[in-house]
Amino acid sequence: MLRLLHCLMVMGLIACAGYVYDIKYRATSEAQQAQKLRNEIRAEKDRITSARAEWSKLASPDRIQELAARHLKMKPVEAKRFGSVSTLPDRPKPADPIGDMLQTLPQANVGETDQTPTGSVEQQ
Amino acid sequence: MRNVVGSIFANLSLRKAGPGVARARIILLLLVFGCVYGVIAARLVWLGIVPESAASQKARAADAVAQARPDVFDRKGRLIATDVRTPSLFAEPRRIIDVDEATDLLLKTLPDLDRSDLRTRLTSKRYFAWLRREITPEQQRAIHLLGLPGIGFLKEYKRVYPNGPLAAHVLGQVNVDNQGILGLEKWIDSGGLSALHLAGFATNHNLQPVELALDLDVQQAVRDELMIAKDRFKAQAANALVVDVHTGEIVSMVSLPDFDPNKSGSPKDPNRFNRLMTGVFEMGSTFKALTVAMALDSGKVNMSSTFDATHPLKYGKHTINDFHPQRRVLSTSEVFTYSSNIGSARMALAMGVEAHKAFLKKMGLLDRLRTELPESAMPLIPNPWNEINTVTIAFGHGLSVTPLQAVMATAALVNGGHLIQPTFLRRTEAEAKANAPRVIKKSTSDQMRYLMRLNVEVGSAKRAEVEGYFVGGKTGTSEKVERGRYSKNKLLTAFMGIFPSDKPRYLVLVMLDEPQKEQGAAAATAGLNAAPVAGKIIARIAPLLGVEPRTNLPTAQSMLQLRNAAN
Repeated sequence: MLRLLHCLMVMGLIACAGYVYDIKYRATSEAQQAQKLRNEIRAEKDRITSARAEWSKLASPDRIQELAARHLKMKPVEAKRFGSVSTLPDRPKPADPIGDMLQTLPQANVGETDQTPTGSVEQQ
Repeated sequence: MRNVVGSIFANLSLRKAGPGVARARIILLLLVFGCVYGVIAARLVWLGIVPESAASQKARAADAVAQARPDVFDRKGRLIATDVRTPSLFAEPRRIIDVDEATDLLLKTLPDLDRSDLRTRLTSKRYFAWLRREITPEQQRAIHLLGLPGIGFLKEYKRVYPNGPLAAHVLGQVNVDNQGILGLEKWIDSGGLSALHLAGFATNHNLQPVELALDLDVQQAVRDELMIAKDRFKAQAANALVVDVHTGEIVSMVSLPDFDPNKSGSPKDPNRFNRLMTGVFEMGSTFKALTVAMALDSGKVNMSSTFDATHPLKYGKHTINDFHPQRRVLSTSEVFTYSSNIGSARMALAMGVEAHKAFLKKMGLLDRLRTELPESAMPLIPNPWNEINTVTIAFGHGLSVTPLQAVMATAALVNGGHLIQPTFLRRTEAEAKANAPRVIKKSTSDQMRYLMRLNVEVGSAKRAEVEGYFVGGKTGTSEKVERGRYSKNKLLTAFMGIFPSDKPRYLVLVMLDEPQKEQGAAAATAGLNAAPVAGKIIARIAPLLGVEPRTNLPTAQSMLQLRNAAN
């Protein structure tokens, strides 16, 4: 009885040790993976920072001013170039060129058109 | 298992002692072993719960080279200062096998290195030698691919200001160890950052960024116009401030000559001197705005009060004269628009020395003004303060204050009467008003706005006029003291402008130090240099600041009548 108990205990012990060993190695590899990802994140953040710094340098107002003066024919905004909604003219009437043309046609012509229906069945 | 060991022990001891003693021993042993296993189990659980010890965290922070600093943004979220991690190249000379090969290969990738210097460094018997600080990532990759033994890289934080000298005096500077030594950088350090650095926990990814009230576009426009003005009038220095009168936010601050914070240099270099905060000046006639406001606010003087400017004012051995003498009795508004020294002196005398002193104290002009930036200066106050001092201070001589201080006081005259501490950080109007004592009546402030506008319409500041923005302001020309005497040809000219005058939003100060007379000009007074420069600045920055231009604006005269009708 005691021997069987001992055997079971030793086996249990070996199983436990194996399990712990497995967990430990998995944990180590996870930790390594995490550290690797952390390093990658940091490198990525560093790259973002330097990219932002570079963008900020390229978009710096003094550089933009210089480039604009060299390549664009634009003038500074003066007060008189601003308008307000109230100074806008009224919206023009909807344009209808064909309708206008019809309006100007002599009334007599309308009466002279052929009243005979063609190409369709005459409606009752 | 515990029972097995326990029973062996129990069997051994049972022979000598009686059963009672043995029992006690067994229990004692069980307790001891139980404790030991308990401690081990607790420790295991502890290690499982706490992911990393403080030590490993510290190691990681140290790897990031502790001196990281927070990013700085302008009010529109544009980056103006950041930390970039740059690799630096070093060698361990003792581990280098072939010095000639290493020298040749390194020179191929870094051609600007000095050959003989590189050789001496590589052949030295030291363990460590810097070869080049701050190389580009491409260079690092190329050198890494050479596979040279004994050559390595260290990553260091480097403070970068992408806009160069644009906001130099606001930002300040850091030293080689990335510690703030000037301006905002020093303020950032004082806010507990240095403690973080000592603990080694500061990396630039966990620091709260700093958001400034500064607007980069406005800053560029102001600096550009000032550079033109400094050249045109051959001035020693040119300074400008743009402040939001309702929040106290400093939207732009330029002090020329300035410097590039990316380049290291001594903090004692005169270009690093921020004249707007560290310099004290006699502000000249711009101070008359304060004198007039004091007189109006006392209730003893109104717009139609008169002051005799028929004759120069004799005071002991001093004679007070006017620059534009009218030789007649002037009204309050005429004293302001003709910038009469005699008139403003009489005005201040009518108030009395003590009242004058108390008023200036209330306006914060007799105390050191503290902002976020470490730079500040104590005003130079006459001691004793006699009647003659009140007479001269009434027109801006005899009391030296920092320009920023004068701006704070003038802003209070036009914003409805609140003295608001200027700030470099973002602030809402409610936050500003919560801590801003009322220093003059609202009605006085309305009158001051009218006077400022009138001065641009008909007075000495005509050249500051910008169509559509209703500019108001006061010019000031003061003579610089040279060897204890006021010099006639060394002037300090200033213009204190507001826009739009009916509802001021921004105050602009332009100061030129020793401007020269232009060809064909009558003089080098503020009305001929500082005022037109301010006009140009306002024309450029008003659209950037979202101030809507208006046409058919009322004249100052009708503005006052409207106000009187409302009362």
